[in-house]
Amino acid sequence: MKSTFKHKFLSQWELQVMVWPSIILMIVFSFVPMFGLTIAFQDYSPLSGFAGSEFVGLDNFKAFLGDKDFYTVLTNTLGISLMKLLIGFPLEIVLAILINQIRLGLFKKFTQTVSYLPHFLSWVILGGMITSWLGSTGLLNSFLLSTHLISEPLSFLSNANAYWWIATLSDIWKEVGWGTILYLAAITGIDPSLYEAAKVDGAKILKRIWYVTLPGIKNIIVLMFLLRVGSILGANLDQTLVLQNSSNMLRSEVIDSYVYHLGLAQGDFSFATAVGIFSSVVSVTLLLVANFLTKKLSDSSIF
Amino acid sequence: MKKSIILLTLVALVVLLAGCGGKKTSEELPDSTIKVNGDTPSWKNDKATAELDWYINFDWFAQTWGNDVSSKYITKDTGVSISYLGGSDDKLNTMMASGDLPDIITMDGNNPFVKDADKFAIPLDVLAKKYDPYFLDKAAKPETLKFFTRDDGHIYGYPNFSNTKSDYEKGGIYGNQAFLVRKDIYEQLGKPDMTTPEGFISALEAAQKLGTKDELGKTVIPIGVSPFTEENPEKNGVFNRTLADFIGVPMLTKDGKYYDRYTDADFQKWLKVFVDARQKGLADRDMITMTKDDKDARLTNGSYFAYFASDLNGEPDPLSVWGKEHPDKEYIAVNGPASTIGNKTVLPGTSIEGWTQTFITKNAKNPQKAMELVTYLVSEYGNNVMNFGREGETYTIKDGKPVLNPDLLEFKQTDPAGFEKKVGLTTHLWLQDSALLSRQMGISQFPKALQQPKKWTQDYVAPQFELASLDVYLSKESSRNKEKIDQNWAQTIAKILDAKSDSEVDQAMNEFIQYRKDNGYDKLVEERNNQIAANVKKLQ
Repeated sequence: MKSTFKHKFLSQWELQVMVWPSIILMIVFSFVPMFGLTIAFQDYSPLSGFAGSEFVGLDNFKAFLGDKDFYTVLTNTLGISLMKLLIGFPLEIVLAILINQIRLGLFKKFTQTVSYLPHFLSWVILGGMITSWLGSTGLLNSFLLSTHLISEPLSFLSNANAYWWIATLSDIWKEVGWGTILYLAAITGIDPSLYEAAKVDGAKILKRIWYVTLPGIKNIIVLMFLLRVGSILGANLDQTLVLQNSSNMLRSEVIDSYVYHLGLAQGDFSFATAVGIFSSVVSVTLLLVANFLTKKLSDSSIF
Repeated sequence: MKKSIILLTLVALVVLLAGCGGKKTSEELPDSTIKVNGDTPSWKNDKATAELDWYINFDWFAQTWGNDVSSKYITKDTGVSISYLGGSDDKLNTMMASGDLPDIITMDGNNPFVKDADKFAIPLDVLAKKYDPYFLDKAAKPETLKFFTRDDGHIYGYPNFSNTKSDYEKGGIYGNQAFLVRKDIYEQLGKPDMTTPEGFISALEAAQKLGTKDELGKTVIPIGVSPFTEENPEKNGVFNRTLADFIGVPMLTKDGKYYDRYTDADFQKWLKVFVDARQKGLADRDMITMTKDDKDARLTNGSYFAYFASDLNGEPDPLSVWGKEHPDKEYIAVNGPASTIGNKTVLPGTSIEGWTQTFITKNAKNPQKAMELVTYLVSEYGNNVMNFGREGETYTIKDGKPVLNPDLLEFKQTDPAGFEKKVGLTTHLWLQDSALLSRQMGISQFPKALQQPKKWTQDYVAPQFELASLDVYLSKESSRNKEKIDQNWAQTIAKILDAKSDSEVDQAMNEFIQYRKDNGYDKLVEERNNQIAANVKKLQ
C-alpha cells in the first residue's frame, strides 16, 4: 500500500508540484481564517483576542434575527438581487447573441467595447455621475422637462420606491457588457458546420439562435446562473453606499450595508461575523437548491 | 497525509494565537535615567536620543518627520525623532489583535478602542511620576487632566484641541456653524430680519422674486443647507443640532439630565418653517440627495441666497473662490433662525474632550523618552515651537504674542500645502493646544473668506462639557441601538422635509418616537445620563 502510494506520487511528481502550492495557499488563506468564525459566538475584542474574549453563545444571532429592521434589510437584498437576476441575466445573453449577429467587424468591436466600458469605472465615480444625472437640474429632469413630459422636476433618488429600479438599472448598465464576454467566447466555440447544416435545412436566424446557439452555450448559461444565485445575498455594498441617502434608506439598506453600519463601523466584529455566517449559510443553501433544480430540469449542473 | 494536515492546522493556530501576551505592565518600567523634578521638564536634562514609532489612525495624514523646520527643532530639543505610521481602522485593528504596537498611538477620541485603553496603554500619570512630573505639574491643563482621569484613578490618553472652561473665559474660541447670506442680495432686500419664522419665509420669498442669476445663469435658490452626507460632521445637514443650537434648544433639562431636543416644541415649530419653505419651492430641491461636490459647486457659483452651514471649517475653498471673484457679493454671516420663546443662540466650540487622544503603549521601547516628548508637545513652550518655530529665527514676540516672520506668514497664506511640507508649523498637531494657538493668532488664523463668519460665532460660542464623550462608553447593545435610532432619525427628517402638511410631520415624528421606544431608547438615555453625571462630577 505504502509503496504504491510512494510510487504513484513519484511517478506524477510534476503534477504534484503544481498542485501543492495552491493547496497550501488555500489552507493558509481560506481555511485557517475560518477559525475566525468563532468570534460570532463571542463578545470579541481585538485586544483580548480569540482566546481571551468571552463566549456569549447565540446572542449575536439573536440580536439580528430579533431585529425588525433586519427583515426589511433582507427583503431589500433579495428584492434588488432578484431584479438584477431576472432582468440582468437574460439581458446579457440577449446582448451577446445580438453582438454576435453583427456582421461588420469594426462595428462589432466598437459595440462590444462601448458596452463593457462602464465596468471599468468604480462605483464612487458612477455614483457621483448618477446622482447628478438624477438631480432636480440633472440630465434626466432637463430632458423630461424640455419634452414637456413633466411640469415639475422629479426627485428620483429621494423616492424610496424608485430605488430598486435605480439600483437594478444602473447595475445592469455598468455590468451587462462585461457579462457578455463569456457568452461571446462560448458562441465562438460552436462548430460553424452546425449553422451551415441548419441553413441548408431552411432555418431562419431566429430558429438558428434557438436550436443552435442557445443549446451550444447551455452549459455556460447554467454555470453563470448558479454562480449568480450563490451570491444573491451580496447586493453590492459599493453601489449601496454611493446611492443611499436618508430618503431612500428604507429601500436601499441591504445586508452588506447593514453589517457595515451596525457591525464594522461600531467595531462590533462579532455581530458583523454572525450576520456574515448567516448569509453564507443561506447562500450555500440557495446554491445547492438551484444546482439540484437545474440538474433535474436541464441535466446540467456544476456538481 | 492526515498527519500533515493536522500539523499544518496546528502551526496555523500557533501563528494566530501568537502575539497575545508579552506586554509590559506598568510595574516593570525601567528606572529613570536622570533625576527628575516637577519644575523642569525632563527633556532639558535628559540628553539621550531615541527613535520612536508614532501611529496616527488617519490615512490622510502623510507627513514625515525631520523634513520640515518644525520637527527639526523638536528633535534638537528633545533628542527624539519620530517615524510616523499612518493608517485607518483596519490597520489599527490588526495591530491591536496582533499585539505588535508602536511606541505612541493617536486615534479619534470616539474610537471604540479608547474604552479599553487600560489594555494597551501605560497610564500617563504613572509615566509622568516616574520620568517627568512636569507633565502633571505644569505642562498639561489641570481641568483636562481631571476630565480624563478614569475610575481607576489613571489617565491613559491625552487629547489634542481640548478646550477647558478657562480657555472659554480667556476668549479666542470660535464656533463652526453659521447662517450665511449673499451680501448683495441681502442688502438689496434691505437687510431683512430672518430670525423669526415669518421674517425668514418672507425674506426667502423676496429673494426668489428678485430672480437674481448665478454664475451659470440659473436663478438663485433662496436657501440651501449643508449636505446630508457622512463626511459632514452633522449627518442630516443642519437638522441634528445646528438648527437647535441656533434657536437655543437646551442640551440638558433643568435638573441636569439628557434633554430630548428633537421633540422640543420650538424645534418642531422651526422644522415646520423649513417644511413650509420646501413646499413653497424656496429650498434646494436636492437638499437631501446632493453630494459634497454638488454643494461646493453651488457655493462656488453663488447659487444660494442663504446657506445654513453646520461645518464652516469645511467651506473655505468654495467660499474663497466665490468671494475672491465677486468681493461685493461674498457670503457673510448674519443672525439666522432664532428662538420663538426667547432662548439665546448657543453654539458649541471644541469641547474639553478635544478631537484625538494620544497613548503611550505597553510595547513602548523607550517609555521615558516617549513621556518626555508628550510633555514637551503638550507644554506651552512646545506648542510655540510646533506652531511658530524658534524665537528670533522664525518668529518674534510682539505685544506678548508670537508673530511669524512676514515671509513665512506670506508663505502660509498663499501656499498652505507648501508651507506645511517645508515649514511644518501647525502640522504636528496631535498634542496641540488649539485654544492657545487661537488666542495667539486671533482671527487672522482663518482664510479670509471665513474670517467674518468666524468672528460672528464668537459671541455665541459656549462650553457644553457635560455632554463630552457622551456616546463613547455606551454598552454594545446601546451603541447598536444608537446607530439604529440615528438612522431612523435620518429617514424621519427626510420624510418630514418632504411632507405635504403639518399633520404628516407630526405623524412622522410619532413614528420616530415609537421606533426609538421599541429599540432601547430608555436604556440609551439612562446610559447617557450616567455619562453626564460622571462628567459633571469631573468638571466640578
